[in-house]
Amino acid sequence: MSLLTLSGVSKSYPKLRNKREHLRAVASLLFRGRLPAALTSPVLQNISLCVERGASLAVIGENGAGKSTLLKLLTGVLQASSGSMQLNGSIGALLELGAGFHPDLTGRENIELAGQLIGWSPREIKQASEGIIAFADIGDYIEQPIKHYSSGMVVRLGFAVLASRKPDLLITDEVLAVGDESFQKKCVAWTEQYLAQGGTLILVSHSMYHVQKLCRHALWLKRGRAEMQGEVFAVTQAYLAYHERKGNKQASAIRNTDHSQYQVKRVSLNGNEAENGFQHRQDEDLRVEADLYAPDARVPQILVGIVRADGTPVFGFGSEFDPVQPLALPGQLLRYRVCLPNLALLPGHYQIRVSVLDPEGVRLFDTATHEIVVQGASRLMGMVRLPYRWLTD
Amino acid sequence: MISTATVLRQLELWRSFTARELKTRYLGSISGAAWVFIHPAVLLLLYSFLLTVVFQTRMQGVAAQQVVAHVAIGLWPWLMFSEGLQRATGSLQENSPLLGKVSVPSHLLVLASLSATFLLHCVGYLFVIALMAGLDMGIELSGVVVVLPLLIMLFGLCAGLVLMLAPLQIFVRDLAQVLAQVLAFMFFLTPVLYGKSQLPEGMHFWMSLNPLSFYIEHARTALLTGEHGPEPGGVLLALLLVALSLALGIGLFRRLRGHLEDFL
Repeated sequence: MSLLTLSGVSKSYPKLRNKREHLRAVASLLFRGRLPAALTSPVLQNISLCVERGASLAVIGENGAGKSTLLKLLTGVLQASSGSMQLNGSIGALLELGAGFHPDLTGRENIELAGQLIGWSPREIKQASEGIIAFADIGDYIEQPIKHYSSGMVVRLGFAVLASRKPDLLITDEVLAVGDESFQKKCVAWTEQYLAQGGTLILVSHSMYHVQKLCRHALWLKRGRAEMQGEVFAVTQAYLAYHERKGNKQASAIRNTDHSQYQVKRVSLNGNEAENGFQHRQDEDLRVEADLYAPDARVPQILVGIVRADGTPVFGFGSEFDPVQPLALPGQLLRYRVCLPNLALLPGHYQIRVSVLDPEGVRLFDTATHEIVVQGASRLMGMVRLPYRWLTD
Repeated sequence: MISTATVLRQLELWRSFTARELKTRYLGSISGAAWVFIHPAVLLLLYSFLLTVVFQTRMQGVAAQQVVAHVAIGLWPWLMFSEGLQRATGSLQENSPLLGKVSVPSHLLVLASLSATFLLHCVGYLFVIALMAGLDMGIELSGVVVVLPLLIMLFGLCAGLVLMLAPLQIFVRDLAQVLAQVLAFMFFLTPVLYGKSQLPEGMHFWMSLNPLSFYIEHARTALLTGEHGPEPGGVLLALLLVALSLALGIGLFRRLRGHLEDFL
């Protein structure tokens, strides 16, 4: 039996623009027990999810995509508008700042309150308190009302309470980002240990580093819908690429269709001609084959460039720099073939741009762009793997 | 089904919420618990001064010595009712930092607020009754036996009402203000400063329509004359009203509960 199953869960929030709509909504709630559809706007639509014991799932997405709402549904703070949810186990959650603490109560009193809400006996609360206070490590502030805390201290206390519970399912919402470096490390270390002991985690984070470090699966929410769901590296890479593309709408160069000029007629990557979605395993050879159209029987130059999905250049080279002759084909075509052995690109979304220049290498006539997804489970950072070795002597 | 463990847990949470409410309300202030006794004593003193020195009130059917007791016996149930309603109506909004973040049994927050008000005024009421008995103001102490069950019934009546008012307050924010106004008027329509015996015969029916009349009049009879045994018909009616209030309150709260966080 799965720990958590969601099927077709949707959530709408009331969207009331004026007093009349407000009154209509209240009347409808009172007499029919639900809101009329016209007065709501959907935040989450048709989310289905299955989380097994011991799994670790990251929920990623832009601001307002519905991540927090999803977590609130899971923890029972909000009720789903439709769909069904089944949870077989205890759940511990740290949602947003404030973490369910009462601002007027002191840290110690809030620990007590949290313990009561979990269902601990006074003795259990007393026993757990010392450990929580030690983990939070906020000194004398424990006797101060929460409203005097810095946001980092609130999160420290919140995480400490959570850590003391060891729930079957742990849910945290973008909270690790608030604590300072050393506390973050402490939380990450605790979470890794919790997962190693068979705990289950659902994490919302904008830090792909934390996501990849802690989670094996990911769910990408986009405008309230599940955009992509699956293995963490695939989902996060697609998500990052989406952001990179968003920042680079002007991208692809205009194609040249003038038959009296040089053209890039055909490009294939490892024998594949599709313009987008070419999948490439990290560290495998990449062979680029390009047929250039040269109507004047001279030999044009080729330029091959690799850019990241957002347009950042990664690497470029051309026939002009190296003594290379293309293969002449019928139909005034010239074929260049090149191999990039053990392609050192790190996992992510890139474009291969093949351009044709005049024989002097001065004027650029045409560029073909092919998207390529480098797959892999590397946690190295950046775009390329540079050779390195540790010096141990 | 509801298990014993769930019920026990709910009771424990109710207790601890009430304790927390009491703590933040009074005991957190510098004079602390002393207020629980100072406030009713001062209130009694003020009413004594007004009724005996300033207005030198005479009430028809009430012995001169019992005038202050007559008013005081009516005043505390009224305080429980009006303050209990007002405070508990705002209780959900007051606890919004909790409601949006963790799954809290929200009905217990409402009931805890009401319980705290009732407990504080209960202590004050008993203290004032003892004080008046000690000061020879014509109190029959044995009447307390009747008063306590009456207060429990009054709590039930109020509990039903606040279970309706508190969630409604989240949706209609002006409710608290309206309630304050209504209670201000209602004070004069409730037999606190006067009693049944001071009203002309023809108005007795209208007075009995105010559900608080039952509680105040019976507390008076018990504490001033020592007669126990309100007529069964009246008690049955009052109990029915309590049951109706609770049923409506629970029904409405259940209906609105799932939507509270959306409107907070």
